[in-house]
Amino acid sequence: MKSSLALFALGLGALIVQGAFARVLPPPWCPDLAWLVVVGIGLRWPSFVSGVVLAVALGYAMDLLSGSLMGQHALLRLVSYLAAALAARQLDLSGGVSVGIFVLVMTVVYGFAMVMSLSFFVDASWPGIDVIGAALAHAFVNVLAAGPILSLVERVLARFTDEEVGRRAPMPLGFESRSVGRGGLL
Amino acid sequence: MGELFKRLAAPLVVVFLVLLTIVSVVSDRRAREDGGRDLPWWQASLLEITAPVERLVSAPFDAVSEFYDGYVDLIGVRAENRRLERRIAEIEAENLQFREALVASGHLGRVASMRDEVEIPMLPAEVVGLDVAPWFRSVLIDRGTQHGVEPGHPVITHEGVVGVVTATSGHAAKTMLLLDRQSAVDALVQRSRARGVVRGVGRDRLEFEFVVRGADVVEGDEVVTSGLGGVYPKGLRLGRVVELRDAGGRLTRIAVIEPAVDLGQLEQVFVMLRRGPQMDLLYRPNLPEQDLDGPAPVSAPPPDEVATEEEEGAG
Repeated sequence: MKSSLALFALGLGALIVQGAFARVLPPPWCPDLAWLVVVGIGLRWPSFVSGVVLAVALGYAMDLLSGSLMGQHALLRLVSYLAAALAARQLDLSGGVSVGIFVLVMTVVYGFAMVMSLSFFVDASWPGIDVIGAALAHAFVNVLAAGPILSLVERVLARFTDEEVGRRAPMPLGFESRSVGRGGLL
Repeated sequence: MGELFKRLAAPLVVVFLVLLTIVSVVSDRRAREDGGRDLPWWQASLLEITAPVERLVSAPFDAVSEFYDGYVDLIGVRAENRRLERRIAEIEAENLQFREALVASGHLGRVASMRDEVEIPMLPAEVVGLDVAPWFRSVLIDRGTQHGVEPGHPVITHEGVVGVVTATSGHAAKTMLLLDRQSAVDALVQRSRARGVVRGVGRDRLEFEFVVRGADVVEGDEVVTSGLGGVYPKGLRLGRVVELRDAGGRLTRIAVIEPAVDLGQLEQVFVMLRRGPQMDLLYRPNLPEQDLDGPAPVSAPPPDEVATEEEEGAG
């Protein structure tokens, strides 16, 4: 419970700092720190159900401070969390390069998914070439910010949980885990 | 049984949360179609807490940005000043001629009374937060339902249209900018009266899609609100045409518009405290006709006066 609250506070703090960055950096060049916290939780936190709930809660907080439809970020952050949790079990994401590539790909996919979901739910224009440029620029700054944010998530987890940081609980429905050890679902 | 429940708990939570978020998106979409909404208490509380904190955290960033902008602005300020002085002199001369003509024709009094009739109460507000996601364009302002701000109210500056209020809490309101992909405003070219829809495309420019392909429009034309969309009053400046091009695969032409307001540098804005007549009909369908005229026209009160009035009201 303590670790959940600490991670939620970290996510909200990241959101506020991100808001401050947005005042001086043009939109695609402002890193999505709160999203990186969600990815960090997916990659490093063993508690699956709490992680899912936390990802959705932080997504709703993002929706509140953004012009998105309420629930849009929450939905995509849930998907991001699931992708990160799955990747942590199936791939070796302990190194900086592998995490960087993962964040790069995920940011581009996230951007496209966001614009396409907007086109689906609202009568907005479909993503064009400009979205690719914006998504790549955004991915670049996210990769730069990923290291410090993941390190912060690990520190918070090390401070508030007894479990080894980076050790994953088994995914439900028979997903095979590459990492060792077993943890509870909650 | 217990083991099965444990294994099914996680997928069930995931399915529940996916459904919850989808329902949220759809209901928010519907609420926006109806002109926006007041936020539920838990969202309003979070916004009430984060808005001042964000303002506090942003202060050093703003200070650095202001210092840099101030330095850049100083470059060439003398030449700009001389140019503006000449322009003011020209405008003053023109203004004098118009006044003379109006006085001579006896129309001045009628023009003044007409202005009083159409004047809409406006509330000054400060931008306290920008959108935290790069895919959307919105701002957070420091006035909410406690100050009379409601979803659907237009937000402007002295230069032109900024956007529309989409959600409110007690002391804050979320405003969707013209640039947002969800934004669409019914507009017309001031010179030729050609009509169309101005849409945000998520970039720093807007796109004006004409109703008629052969619409009379040239680069440099001013584009204003038509008053037909139900949100904005007629005649507010949206921007200037900077490029014309064919819309691929469609029968219409598209004009690229530079917004009249620099939406990246917003600090002070005005909320028009009255929705368009169509919005009023949507919101207050059972009221008698005389109530649809909205609040009595008053001039824009400064923020201090608004605060004082509230305190007196509370007392």
